[in-house]
Amino acid sequence: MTKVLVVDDDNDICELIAFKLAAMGYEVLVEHDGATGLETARNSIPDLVILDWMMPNMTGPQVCSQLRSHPDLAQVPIILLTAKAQENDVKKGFASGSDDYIVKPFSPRELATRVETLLARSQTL
Amino acid sequence: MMSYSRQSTPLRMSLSDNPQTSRATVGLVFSGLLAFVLLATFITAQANSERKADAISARTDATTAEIGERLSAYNEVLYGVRNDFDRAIPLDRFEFSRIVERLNVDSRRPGVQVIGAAHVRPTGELTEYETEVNSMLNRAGLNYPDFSVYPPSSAGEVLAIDYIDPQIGNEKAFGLDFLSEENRRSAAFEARDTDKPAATGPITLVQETGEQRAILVMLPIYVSGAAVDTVDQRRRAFDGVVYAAFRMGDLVEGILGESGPSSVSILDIETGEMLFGNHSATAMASTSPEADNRIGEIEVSGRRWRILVDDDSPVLSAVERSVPVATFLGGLLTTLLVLALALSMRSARSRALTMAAEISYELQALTESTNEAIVTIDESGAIVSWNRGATEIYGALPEEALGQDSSIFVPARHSESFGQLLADAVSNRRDGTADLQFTGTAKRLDGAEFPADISVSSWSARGEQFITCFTRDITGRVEAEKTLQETSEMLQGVLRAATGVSIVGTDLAGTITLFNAGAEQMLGYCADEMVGVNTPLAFHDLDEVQERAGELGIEPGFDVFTVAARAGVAERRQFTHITKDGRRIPVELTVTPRYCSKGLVCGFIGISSDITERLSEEASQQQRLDQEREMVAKLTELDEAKNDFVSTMSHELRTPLTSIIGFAELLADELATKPSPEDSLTMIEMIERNAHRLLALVENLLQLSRIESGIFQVGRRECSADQIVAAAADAIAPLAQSRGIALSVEAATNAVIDGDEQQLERLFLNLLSNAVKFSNDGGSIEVRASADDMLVVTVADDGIGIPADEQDKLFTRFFRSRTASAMQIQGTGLGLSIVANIVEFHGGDIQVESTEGMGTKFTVSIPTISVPTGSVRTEKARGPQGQSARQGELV
Repeated sequence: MTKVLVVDDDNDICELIAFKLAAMGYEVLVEHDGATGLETARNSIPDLVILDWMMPNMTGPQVCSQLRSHPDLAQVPIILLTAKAQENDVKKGFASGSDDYIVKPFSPRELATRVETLLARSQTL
Repeated sequence: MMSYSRQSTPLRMSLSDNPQTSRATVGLVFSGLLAFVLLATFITAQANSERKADAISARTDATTAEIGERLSAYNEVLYGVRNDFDRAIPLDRFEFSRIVERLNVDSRRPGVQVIGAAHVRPTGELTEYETEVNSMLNRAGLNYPDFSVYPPSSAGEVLAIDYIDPQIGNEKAFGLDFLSEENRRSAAFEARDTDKPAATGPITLVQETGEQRAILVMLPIYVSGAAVDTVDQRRRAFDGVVYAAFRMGDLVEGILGESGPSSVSILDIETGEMLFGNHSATAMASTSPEADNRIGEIEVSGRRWRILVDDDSPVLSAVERSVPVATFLGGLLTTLLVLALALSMRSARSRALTMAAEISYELQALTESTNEAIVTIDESGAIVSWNRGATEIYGALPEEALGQDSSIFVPARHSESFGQLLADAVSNRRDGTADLQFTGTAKRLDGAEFPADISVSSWSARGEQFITCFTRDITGRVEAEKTLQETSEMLQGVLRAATGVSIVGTDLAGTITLFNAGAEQMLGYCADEMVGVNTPLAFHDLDEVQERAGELGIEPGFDVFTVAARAGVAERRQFTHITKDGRRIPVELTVTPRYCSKGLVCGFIGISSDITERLSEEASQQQRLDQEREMVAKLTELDEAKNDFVSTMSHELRTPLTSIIGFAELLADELATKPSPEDSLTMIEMIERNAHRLLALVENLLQLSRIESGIFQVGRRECSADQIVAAAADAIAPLAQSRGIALSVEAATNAVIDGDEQQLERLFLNLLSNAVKFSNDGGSIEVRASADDMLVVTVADDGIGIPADEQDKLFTRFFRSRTASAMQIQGTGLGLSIVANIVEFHGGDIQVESTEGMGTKFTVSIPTISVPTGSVRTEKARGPQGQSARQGELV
């Protein structure tokens, strides 16, 4: 079963994403801060990671670049999901190693589509 | 063309007036003289010279004393010259020459060949020394020979002659190292160790061209200001010598007159060498004053001289033996000579005529070569001689002037007084009174007038009176004087008018020579008490002078102001003047050198302007600048806080919107596919909760904008403090619970407050919300209330605390703690700012105590209207059940 890790400090948003992805048949892991998110990713090696930016202890981009330095996680698709919408932030986000960048508020449908696309591409590789 | 014949004629005529001596007259005189001689011979024969021996002794004493006195007078000259060296500033050679010139050595102090000075220098620094002296010489433009120390020295130092005057004839001595020769060296060291004049033994001057022996007398120069009480101190402070060189022959002649030298012999006892005279050294050395009454001894600057005065014995003895014979023979001889003289009168007369002619030519040459007008007129006023100078000055050729009445060269208005003048000149001549000299106005042939110095003398020839006028055109001088006068008046005017600045002039040493009205006004001293009495140090801050001296590495004193000016450069610098009544005035002082006619610096001018206003202007400008900077910094800080706020706000607004939109979409999808009431309900709850969150944010923003625009309206009424606190606690309880935080509330005061219930509830809600936000999961929050005339509510948590440096900014709008940002704790930075505003509105006060890592406690005090008796404890004791909802632990 395809595993997706969602890391966001807002519980409601985590639940929102979990609702949508669970309905699509994915196994969803939820963490509420950067540090525990990184821990979970290392332990359970998810197939895709969705990261909020502003979180206690570690920010999304920080987690992202840590994931990229892990041998088993270097190729895992990462989506940054954040309220930070400025061009500069988008650049920073991609520079940290993410594959996609979605600005809050977002459409769960659109998120689902992007998740599917990224997973499909990573599996063909 | 220039007529002079009329003047040579009278001369010849006057000589030729002498009467011829007749043969009879000669005979008469001859007989008379012969008779006189015989009488004199007789009287002389009676003369006695028994006191001769005493006379010789007295003469020796007198001569010896004279020599001693003269030499000690020369020593005073040396002391005088030394004084001029005894200054901090090196003496320049021009001034040295002037000093020596003033002493008038040549005429008043014969025998002094030269006066000079020599200075000690390490042998290793000779090149620099020579360069230095030569460059000073070049600068002064003096006619000194090139300075080069000789002979080559193997000693560690030299004592070379570096000042000498006169230079001419003494060039050879310039640069001579005294230490190179035993005699000079020991005299120099003797002078150095004793601080007294010391003479050398007999030496021959290096510049001597004849055969005279000489001595040098040296007087030591010490470093200015050094102690010279002991020999050691003197050796340390030794800087050189001033010296005078005496040629013995010239000296003796100068002292005793021309007849002296032949009778005097001088021996230097120490060396046994002759200084002067015909006697042999051996003979002089073997005798003594006791043995011979012709001998005296004196001490001359540390040396002993033995002086022998010959008594002219051979001549005197002969006279003694045969005075009558000598008188007769002498008288006879004289008589014969007179006879011979008379007989030779004729040839004398012709020689006189030749001489007169020669004098006449000389006079003519002189008359023609001078630029003065020399005009001779006769008693009638007619011009009889007219020289080249007259042609130029009066603008008239000799042929135009000769024979004319002299009054045509006098302005008409002066003609009467001119006539009187001529008459006076003639009568003065008769009275034997001196020539007349005066300054007046003369007239050229073309009528132009000019100022002139005129001197008039009259003389007579062949019974006729002549008047010679010497006229000098002084137009140039008069104009120069006038210009000078005008310049001087203008300068005085400027000095008087310059009342805004202080202008003070000094001489080289600093003594004030000028103190203008501006200086009087600024400093409160009057010129009379400063000029010639004080130096500018009298009105300067001496600490400042000391400090400046330290910077310059010189002794504190007047020189502090003039270092640059001495080098010919004007210098501007800030100093403090102290007025007579003790006020301190900051000034800008410009010091410039003052030159005398020879281009040498001979004083200084200091111009100070009061810069008090400028300084205070500068200070207030600085203050304004500082204020502006502070304001800019504040604005920048505020701007940063605002930017931060905008970014946080945007995030805060987006987060609930994300949930609302997301769940709404999800709900739509859910309902469209497989309606599940349970899931739908959860989603709707989520939407509702997030919509409330959004609302709360918007309310906070509105609150802020109300506060900012100053229309913070509150509906005031009496309300229960306990209810307000309880309501806030209830509102926050679910959030605390969700994070496992223990919330303990004890608020049973029964206090009544006149206030806005909503606002007060928001106050406590915000405090509690913060407490929860900054508590760790599982922490605890305590709310305590008490009241008398003030309601005091404390909200304490055991959370992360607030850094000490942030505590005073807590209540500033948009302020967010570093810790909060670092931990990504959400917030807008508005909560506490709103709290502070509400407290203030209710006339209350809020305090914070916090330790980082230990927790935070806010204490709010708000005035109460009434507090029923028996508040907190009674309530608590009476009805624990009734209060349980508020006081119980909410986990």
